Amino acid sequence: MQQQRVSRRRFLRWSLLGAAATSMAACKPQVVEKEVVKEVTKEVEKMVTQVVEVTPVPTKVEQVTIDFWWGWTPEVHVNTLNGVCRRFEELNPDIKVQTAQHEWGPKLLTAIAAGTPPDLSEGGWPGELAARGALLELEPYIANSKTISKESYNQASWDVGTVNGKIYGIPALEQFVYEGQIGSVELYEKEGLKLPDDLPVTLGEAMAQIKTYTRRNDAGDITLLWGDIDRYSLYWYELVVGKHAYNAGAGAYDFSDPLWAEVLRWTGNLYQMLGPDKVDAFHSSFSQWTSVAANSFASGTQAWQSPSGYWEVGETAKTAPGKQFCWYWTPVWENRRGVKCVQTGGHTVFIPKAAKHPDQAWRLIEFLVSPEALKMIFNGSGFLTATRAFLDDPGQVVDFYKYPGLRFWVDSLLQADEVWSEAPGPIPGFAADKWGKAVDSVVLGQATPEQALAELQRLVDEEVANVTKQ
Amino acid sequence: MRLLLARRPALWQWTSQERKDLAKGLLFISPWLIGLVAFTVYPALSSLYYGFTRYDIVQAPRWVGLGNYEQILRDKEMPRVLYNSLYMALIGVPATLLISFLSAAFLNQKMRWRSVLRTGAFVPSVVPVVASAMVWLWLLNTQFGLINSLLKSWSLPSIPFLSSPSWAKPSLILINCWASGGTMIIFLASLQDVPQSLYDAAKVDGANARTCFWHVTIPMVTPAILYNLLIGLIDVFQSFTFAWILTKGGPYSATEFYAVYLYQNAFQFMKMGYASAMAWMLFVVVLAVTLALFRTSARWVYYRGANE
Repeated sequence: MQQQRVSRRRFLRWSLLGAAATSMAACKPQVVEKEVVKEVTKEVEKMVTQVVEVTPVPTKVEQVTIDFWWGWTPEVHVNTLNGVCRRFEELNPDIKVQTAQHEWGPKLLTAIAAGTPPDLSEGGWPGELAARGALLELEPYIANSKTISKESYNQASWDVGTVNGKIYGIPALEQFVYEGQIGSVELYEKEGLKLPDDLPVTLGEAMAQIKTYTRRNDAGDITLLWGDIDRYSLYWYELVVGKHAYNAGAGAYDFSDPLWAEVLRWTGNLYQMLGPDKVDAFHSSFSQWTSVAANSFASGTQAWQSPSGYWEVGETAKTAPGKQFCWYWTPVWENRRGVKCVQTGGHTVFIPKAAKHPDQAWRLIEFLVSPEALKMIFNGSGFLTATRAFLDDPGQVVDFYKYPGLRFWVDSLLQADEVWSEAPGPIPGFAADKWGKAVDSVVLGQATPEQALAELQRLVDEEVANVTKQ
Repeated sequence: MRLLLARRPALWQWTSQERKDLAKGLLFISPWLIGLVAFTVYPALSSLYYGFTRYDIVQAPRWVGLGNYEQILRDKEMPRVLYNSLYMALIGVPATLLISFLSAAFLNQKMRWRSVLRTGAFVPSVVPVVASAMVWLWLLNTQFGLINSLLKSWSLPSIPFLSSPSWAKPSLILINCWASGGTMIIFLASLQDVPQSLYDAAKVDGANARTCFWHVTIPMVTPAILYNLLIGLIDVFQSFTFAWILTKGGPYSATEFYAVYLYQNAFQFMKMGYASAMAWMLFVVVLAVTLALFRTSARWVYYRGANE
C-alpha cells in the first residue's frame, strides 16, 4: 500500500492557513436573522425591566484577594491568625485574605526583591526594610484612619515601627512587654528564699545567687542551673545599663560608655564561672524557651532567668502545670538599683511598597488591632498587643486570673519608671549579630571587653555608613 | 582516539541534514538547556556582576568596583571562617576518605550478608539531610543522647558534642563520615575493578597481603581517591546544611563555615553584593585547589591503560 506523505513544510503551511481562517471566522459578525433578533431582544428587555422593577438585584461585590504573611509556624498560632482573617472576611466581604508563613527567613526579602511581595506582612524589625525604602510610609493612612491614630499606642510602641522619624510598622499581633525576670517559687523556697523579695535586683546579686545555688554532677555537668541570661539580647543590656545602643537622633550606635564594658566583663565572668560549653550543653537538653516541652523551668532544673516576657505566663501554664513562678522587674546595673524598667516591643505589621492592594491591607491592619481581634488572638495564641484602648481597659481582652502572673506584666507598663522601646535603627539584625560575637569573644577570653566593643563599634559604624550611602 | 577528535567543519559548512540533526538535538535537550541557563548560567553571571556592586537586594545595585573584594580581605571574621572551613578540609575530608575506603575494603571481602551490609552502609547517604540532622541532634545530646548515655553507663564523662566549640567540628566530621555512602560506593567499585591477575602475579613474586595492599590495591584505586578527594574538598568548602540545622554556626561561631557566613551576609545582613563576591572568591579558591590537585595527580595517580 502506498503511503501518502505530507511534508512538514506543507503541514505547517496548511495549519497556519487553518488557524488564520478560524481566527477570521471568529471575528466575523454572526450571520443571524436580524429582524428576529431585534424582536427577541425587545421582549427580553421588557421582561428584565419588569423584574428589576419588582426585585432589587444585589450589586455584585467585586472581591479583592490580599496576601498576608507572618512568621509563626506552630499550628496554634497559624489557626488563630487564620481564624482572625476569616472573621475579617465576614466583616469585609469585598476582601479575601490569603495567608502564608515566611518564618522570618529570606522568603519575604526574596519576594520584595522580585517585586511580588505580600500586601501585608508581619515582621520583628521593619527597620532594615524601611531604611532601604522597601516599605510604605503609613503616616498618611494613620492621618485618615478612624481606628488608628497617634494616640492608639504609647511612644515606646510606636518606636518599634519607626525609622528616621517615619512610621512604617504598626504594632500588632504580638507586641507587648518584656525584659523582666522569672523565678521558680518551688526552687527558691527549697533554698529558704522568698519571692519576689529575694529575686536579684542587680546583676551583682544575680551572679552571687547563680554561683551559690548552681549544682553539678560528678562529671561537672550542670544539673541545676540556678540562673541564666540571654547574652545575645542587646535590648536587655540596654535596660541594664540604661542606655540605648542606637541613638536615633544621631543616627549612630554608641558603645563608648564604660558601663557597656562593665556589663560585658560581668557576662564574661558569669560564663567563665559556669563554663560556656557546660551552659550550652545544659540548654541543648533543657531549653530556655518556656514554650518548649520539658524546658528548664518545667523540668525544675532552672530557677531564675532574665530577660523574661509576658508570654511565659501562658507558656509555663501549659508546659509546667502545677508549678508556680514569679515575674518581676529586670535586675539592673548597680548604679540603677531600684529602677523599675520594662520594654515594649515585639512584632509589627507593614505594607511593602510594591503591594498591589495597600488600601485593603490597611483595612486588615485596622481590624488586627481592634478589641475583637485582640481578644481572638489572646484566646488562641496568648499574644497581646499594647494598644492604648487595651491598656485603658485590659479586662475587655484579658482574663487576669486565667494565667497567674499576667497581672504583673499588664500593670508593669503603667507602673514602670521607664518604658523602653526596641528603637531598631537601620541595621538591627547586623548589630545584634555583631553584639553576639563581641559577647562570645569576651566569654571565650579572646578579647577584653574594651577590645570587643571597639571592634563592634567599628563594624556597626561601617555598616550604618554603607546603608546610609546606599 | 585521534580519529574521534578530528576537527569538525564549521557550522556554515554543515550540510542541511546536519543542521536539522543539530536542531532536533537541541530541541530534545531544550528543557535541560533552559533550566541550565535560567537557574545556573544567569544567576552565576548575575552574581559576578553583583560582586562588584553594593547590593542589598531591595535597592538597585551600586557599582563599587573591587570594594567588596577588598573588604573580604579586611574582614576580621574571615580568618575564623576560613579556619573553620580549612579544619573541615584538612581533617574532615581525609577522615571521611579513610573511613569510606576502609568500609569499602571491608565490604569488598567475601562474607555472609555482604549485600545487606553494603546496603546498610549506603543508606545514610540517601537519608534526607534534615531528617538525619534531627536524629543526630538527639544522638549527640549531652544529657539525654544515646552516645552520652552509653558513656555515662560506663562511668565515663559526657561529651558536649554540639555545645562545645572544641567538639562541634569533630562532631560534624563524624556525621559526614556516617553519611559518606556515595564515597564508599565509588571506592568499592574501584576495588572491584582491580584485576585479580595483579594480585596473583604479586603473590608469585612473594608479596604478602600488606605489600599487595600498598603496591597493588592503592595504586589501582588512586583515580577514585583523586575523584573523591576533589568532590570532598568542593563539598566541604560549601558545608552549610548540617552546620545550619545542628548548630546555626555556633557554638561560639565554631561551625561558622564559609558558606554559612556567606548565607548570613546575603540573607540576614542584606549584603548580597558582598556575599556574591565571597561566592566568587570561593570559586577561585576551589578552582585553584582543583587545578593544583590535577597538577600533582600525574605523580601519584595511576591510570590503567593510559600509556597503552
